[in-house]
Amino acid sequence: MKKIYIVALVAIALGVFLIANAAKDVTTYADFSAAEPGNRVKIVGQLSKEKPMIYDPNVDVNLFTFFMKDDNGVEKKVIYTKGKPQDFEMSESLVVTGKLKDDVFVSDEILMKCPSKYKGEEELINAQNAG
Amino acid sequence: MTEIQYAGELLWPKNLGQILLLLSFFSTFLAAYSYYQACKREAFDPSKATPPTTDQSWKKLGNIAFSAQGISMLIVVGLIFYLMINKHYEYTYVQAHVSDDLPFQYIFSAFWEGQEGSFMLWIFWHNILAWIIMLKNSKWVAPSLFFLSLIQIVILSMIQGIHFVVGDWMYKLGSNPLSLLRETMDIPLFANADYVSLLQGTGLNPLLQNYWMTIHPPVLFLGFASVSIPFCYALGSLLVKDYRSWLKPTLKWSLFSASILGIGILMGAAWAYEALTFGGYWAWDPVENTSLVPWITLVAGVHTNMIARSTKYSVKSTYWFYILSFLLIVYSTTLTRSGVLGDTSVHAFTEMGLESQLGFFIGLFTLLSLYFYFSRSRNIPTPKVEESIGSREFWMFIGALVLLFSALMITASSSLPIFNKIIQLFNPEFVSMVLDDPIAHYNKYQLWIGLLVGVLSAVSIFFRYNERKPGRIFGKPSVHLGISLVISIVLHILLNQWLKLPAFQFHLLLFAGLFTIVSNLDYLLAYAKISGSTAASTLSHAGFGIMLVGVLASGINKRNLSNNTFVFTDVIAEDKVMKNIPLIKNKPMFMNGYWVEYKSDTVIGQNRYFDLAFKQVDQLENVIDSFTVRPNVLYSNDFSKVAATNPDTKHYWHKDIFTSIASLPTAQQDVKFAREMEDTLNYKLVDFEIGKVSEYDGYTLEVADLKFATKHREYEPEFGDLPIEVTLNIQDSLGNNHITKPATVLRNTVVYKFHGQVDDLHSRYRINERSFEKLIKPDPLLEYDQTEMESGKTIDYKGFKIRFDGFRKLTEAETSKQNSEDISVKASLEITALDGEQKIIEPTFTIRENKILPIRDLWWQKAFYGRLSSIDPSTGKATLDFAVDQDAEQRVFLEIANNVPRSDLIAIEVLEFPGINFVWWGCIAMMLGLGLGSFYRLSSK
Repeated sequence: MKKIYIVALVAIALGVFLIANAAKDVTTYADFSAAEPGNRVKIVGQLSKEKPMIYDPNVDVNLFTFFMKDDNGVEKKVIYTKGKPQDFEMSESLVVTGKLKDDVFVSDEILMKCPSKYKGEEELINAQNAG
Repeated sequence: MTEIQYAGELLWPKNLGQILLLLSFFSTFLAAYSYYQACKREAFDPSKATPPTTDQSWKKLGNIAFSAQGISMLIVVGLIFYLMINKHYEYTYVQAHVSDDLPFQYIFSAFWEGQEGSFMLWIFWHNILAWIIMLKNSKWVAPSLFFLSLIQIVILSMIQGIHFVVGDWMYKLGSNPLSLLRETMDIPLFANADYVSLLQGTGLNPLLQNYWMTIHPPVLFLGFASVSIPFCYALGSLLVKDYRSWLKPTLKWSLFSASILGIGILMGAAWAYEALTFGGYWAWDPVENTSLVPWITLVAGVHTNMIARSTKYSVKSTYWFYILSFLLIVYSTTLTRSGVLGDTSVHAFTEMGLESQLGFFIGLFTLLSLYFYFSRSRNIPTPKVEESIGSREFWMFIGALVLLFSALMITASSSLPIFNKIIQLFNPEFVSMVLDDPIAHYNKYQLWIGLLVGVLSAVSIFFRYNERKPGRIFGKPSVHLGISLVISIVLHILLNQWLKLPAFQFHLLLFAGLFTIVSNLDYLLAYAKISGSTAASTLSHAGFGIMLVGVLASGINKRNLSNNTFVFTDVIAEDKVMKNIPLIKNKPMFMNGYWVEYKSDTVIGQNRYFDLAFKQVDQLENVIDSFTVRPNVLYSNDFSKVAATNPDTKHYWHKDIFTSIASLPTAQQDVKFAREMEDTLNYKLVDFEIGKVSEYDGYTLEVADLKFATKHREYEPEFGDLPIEVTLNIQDSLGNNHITKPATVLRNTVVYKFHGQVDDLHSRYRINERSFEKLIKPDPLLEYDQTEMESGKTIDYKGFKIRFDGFRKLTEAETSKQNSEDISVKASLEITALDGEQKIIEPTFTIRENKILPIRDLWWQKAFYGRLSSIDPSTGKATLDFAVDQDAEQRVFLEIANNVPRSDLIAIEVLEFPGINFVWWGCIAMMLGLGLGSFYRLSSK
């Protein structure tokens, strides 16, 4: 047998093994109903802007709490443990990663999707000139 | 509807640009056609390196057409710069990327911030490289530039902005960088004929206002563009059926390309590390990954190309690697620019509707590559006998396969968003998949790649090309390998004292890194009849080893110094999530062996810099080391938010201490919020006698000093202002002393209050405007007595001695800027009170537009007022008015608020990266080695 075939066989075997293995690294975006206590999940949803967002560095620089609604409309309190991210209020949608604990979602990772350079008319107009 | 005649639009650049864009698009078609004809008609002789001597008119025509495109595009780029520099906001691209306050040095960054600009950068570099190929004038001009023309046509189509309308169906080909705002948007603003004067620019994203943004994109795009060249040579050689002589010139290009692309990626990593706050240089973000992957396959191609040059093997795989590298560049472009990555990447462009064109880009060149490869593959020479297992080409080939494997794995994982999109086309219910922990995922697998590449590059150099005696390796080379092995183990044991590696695979990787370094250095010393290219390759391989050591050290032993074990451990059990600590100004805080103190902060323009002093101490509190870092935050133009935070890093040769501002109190981030907060504070009005210590709310307060001047940090003086400032000495119940200096300024009829704050008492102080009444009475309420005086004369007035010392002109500083026509003179008066205290007051006499304006002066402590009401020029006598306010009180009205949030608090994140310099040194050595390899091959004809 040619050596190249042996190499190819090894590579294919390794490839299959790795794909089988890597499948475990993949999760899906879930909603709050899928977040059973202790189970680490990623949840997509929107910030509940009418509910309070609390971040007081006087108390704890790492503690930020807010409310988030998932795509099914279920709302939960979220504790984020790395301080308040920049531009948080501007986010269109959020992906939070973490675990549910006593009906509060404790997250250590937030991905925000911000509006892509949306340009309102007022932004185009020079305030000084217009006024 | 009538056509509106717009005022103030500059239209010639648009018209000229549009013609040039079209011209360049179509002349590239002509170039492609001409080069194709040149390839067909000019017979290729594989045995000759020089171009065929037959008629070269097609090739010349191709060169002319291609250059016409190149020059047109240079002018288009020039036009856009012209519009950007002169802020012509009627142009969409200018409006979106420039603003009035954008510093000139960022004009380049603004140019390539957008999709269109970065496409033009890519086109620009293709042209430069094409001109180099034309100048060198080898026989490969026509075949390679034929394919480069095809690539250029597709990229040029991205910036055409031509609309095709067939019935209801509309197709937009590309996006024109010279389109006008009113053509791209439909808003009522454009009903105004004078809309141009109302426009303002959006400006460059503050995160990108950084010198890295000036140098990283051009280098990266030169890297991208240069990957096209080996691809074009490969397909060109298939086109003209000359399968061997392309290998030599291509190797120079691919070494050059790997070096530049590598530097470009490295600059991105350095940018992320130096200026962004995610705390690292590589986050396995899809955009980073897809620019790394073509580099990996290109490096694999460099290796098979070397094999193919020195032996007869690996010609086919060289084709594949160069084709793959280019296609992966296009794939990377597609991922980055199509908006697919929106959810998963921080630096993807926003959608621009180019998805179908980008798909066409990949599809076209995949099909072309497949067609040319498979229609010729039977004729590509391949040796009948396989590589010997004891030969260098065998092990190099295995190495290339390992790299390919790595590239495929990274691409597969990074393409999850694409897979999701495809599955959702067929099954809309499908829930998107994501990597749970991307960094861990990639590291886990790429570790083994690093290990294999390390060992292979350590061992394979000791094998020889075309080796027919497999046993030779057991002779002298094995002695050298043995020595290297021993040295590496010793180094490993030494390094192990410094690094803490938690698992066996990290030990293996560290060993592989060290082994590569040692054996390559050994090879260089022992074998090489020091040729340039050998030195270059050993440098690259040793660099790879150094990088592995650095990655391990800084990655595995990265340490968060700012975790605070005392805060809220009951709420969050996992201690890994505690990464910030609070710092109160002038109150040193202890963290992991360091005392850190927030000393001061300075606002320079939009930036606020924080001086943080670090002191490293040992168990006995002896100071081992001390340094200061200055991280800063960049405010948005209206100071309504923190637009970017820039970390600062203390560099040592063996480690870095990285510090960034994690957060500020909201009132320190947003002036609007601060104002709102100020309005909600509950201020109480209390009056204090100046100079007397009073009790207030459990502490003592003394108004120690009053001045009619202030240096409050928020106050900008204007002529005519009447400022007062008091110094408050406050002693709290613990006996701590605090000083604060609130100020209030009377400007015409408006009162501006600048508060003072004592953060430890959570209290804030302002001077109430009623203090003015108490301290200074307005003229109508005073009873002035008039006296005529001549210079040098002294009079007595209500217990004061007044001496008139004559007139003086106003100094430069005293002259009003607004009323420069004023004629003013001051009278100098020396006043002596009963207690012997003396003071000079200087009332002013001003003539403004035929009106007389006497401006009084006062000695407020004694409630003494003086006014100069007229001057007799003939006698030099002055008419002076004096008054003493008998009811004056030495009182100040203060407004005091309690429960004010601290303003002197910041949260910081501090990370320690041991051995991070090895990453930079290693990578630089790698890229330098690749570049040198290209250079030596270039100089050896």
